[in-house]
Amino acid sequence: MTADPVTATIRTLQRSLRGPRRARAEMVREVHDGLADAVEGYRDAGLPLAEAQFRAVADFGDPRHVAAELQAELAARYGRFAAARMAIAFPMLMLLWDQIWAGDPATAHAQATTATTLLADLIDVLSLTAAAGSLLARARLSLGARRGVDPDRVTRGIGFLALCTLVSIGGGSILLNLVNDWPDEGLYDTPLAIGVFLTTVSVAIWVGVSGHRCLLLGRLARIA
Amino acid sequence: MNPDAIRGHLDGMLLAVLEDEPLHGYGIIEALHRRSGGTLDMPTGTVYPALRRLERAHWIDGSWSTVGGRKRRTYTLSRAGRQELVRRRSEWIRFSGIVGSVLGGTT
Repeated sequence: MTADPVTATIRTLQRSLRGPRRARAEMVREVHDGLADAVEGYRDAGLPLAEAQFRAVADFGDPRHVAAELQAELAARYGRFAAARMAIAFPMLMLLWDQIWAGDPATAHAQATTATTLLADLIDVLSLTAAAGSLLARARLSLGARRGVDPDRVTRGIGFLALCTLVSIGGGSILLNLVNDWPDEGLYDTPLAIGVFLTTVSVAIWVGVSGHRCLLLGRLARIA
Repeated sequence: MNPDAIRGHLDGMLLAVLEDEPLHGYGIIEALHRRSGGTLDMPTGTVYPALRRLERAHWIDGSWSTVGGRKRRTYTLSRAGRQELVRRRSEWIRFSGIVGSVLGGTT
């Protein structure tokens, strides 16, 4: 059985859109409401249902073109979401790890080692720079809409920033633990340290997934 | 009327139709149609992404509300959107005046 033109249009939109589920569902619902209103308008003007549906869909235009433009908005929405959380997550992890090292007696020894101190400072700078970059990217996705800034590109940039930060901070942290020469017995045994470690792993996984999704959605919006 | 020419002014026209009252998607399309005397010829589907873009720019605010017993996404012009509309209007008056003078359509 062939679907009516309105249902077919909505299905095309549903099939074409990728991104945050709730935002996607809201967009499709809004379009569906608009098409239903248009059909109702033509029906009120005296047209039979099939003709009213045909006219409403013809007025709407090619759903693939509409999907392409909506896809850019979905990418922007996800990019803003990811950037806002990255701006909080990176400094938060930095502060949590600082708490652990500051509270450990071995820290005094570690701070005496120039290479370790430099590396730790570098990780802090990277965290804060990534957070600042995330805030900037988020602002470009919001206020940049006033100046015609390409949301696809900014969202891809956020994805790139997320993955680069993950690799650099993750790699730096591993290196920090390898080059330090403080006695690490008991350093990670406290409940706080275990909690911070688990939080770090969760955030790292989230950043990796979000970065990948930003790259994917930004690319989809570009080619849509 | 050329749809490409309209597209460049779509954002301004959307802000203009929201100036008097909050409207939902189809209400906006109807208002555009009415204000243009039925001559505005563009795919109505292009309105929805444009509304999302204007919302992202904080020129309009969108929220779900019940209109006529049905849930609808309704848009309201924000303070920043009102200022942008004023700016676009004055820019358009200046622009159309210049082009009109050159083409000889205005006296």
